[in-house]
Amino acid sequence: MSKIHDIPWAWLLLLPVLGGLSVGLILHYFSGEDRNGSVSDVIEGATLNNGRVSLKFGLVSTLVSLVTLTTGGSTGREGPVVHLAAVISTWISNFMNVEDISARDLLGCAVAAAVSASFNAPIAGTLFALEVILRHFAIHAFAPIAIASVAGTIIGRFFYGNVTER
Amino acid sequence: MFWTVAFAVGLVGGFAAVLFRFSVSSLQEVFYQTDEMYFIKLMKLH
Repeated sequence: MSKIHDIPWAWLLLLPVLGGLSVGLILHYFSGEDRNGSVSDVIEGATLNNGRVSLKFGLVSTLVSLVTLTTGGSTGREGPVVHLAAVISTWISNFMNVEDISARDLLGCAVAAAVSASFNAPIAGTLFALEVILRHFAIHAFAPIAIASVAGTIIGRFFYGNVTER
Repeated sequence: MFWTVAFAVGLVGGFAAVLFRFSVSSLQEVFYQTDEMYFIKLMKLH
């Protein structure tokens, strides 16, 4: 707590204001939708858009969440991570020209890995991707998503160690 | 083949999540000289 007391009060007051202003300007000029993306956009991409999300909108949403989180705003951390994973999966699906079931499974893989790496929870990451994003438990999705989730956990533990909360 | 791709996607997705977490912590350190995890640890101690 002592570190916070060393910071000038004007800075503590000004920083969230500047953060909010930046978020507003970024959303207005770059997102194209005047709102931030969320997990629901990823679910929509999985259901209606062949396992893909808008790359530009996803990156802008991640940037906006980063600014919000670092300037004292109140927002969750799992939403932007899920969206960022969906952007990566979309890019890979486009690169490999993957369609339909495979593209949706890849989206689930990326989301599961991101959640498991963020929270050191591979089982939760797998279930989240299957139940929330894909909304089915088909075996063709379960195996690759479980593998991706383990891969994400390996990366998370490599950098942050085997801790359950970060 | 697809499982290998899934594993690679998992590595990339996990790395992106770690990078996002690291970016948040680093910027909070720059702006506030601490990060929110420090406060969570304090709350757990008290």
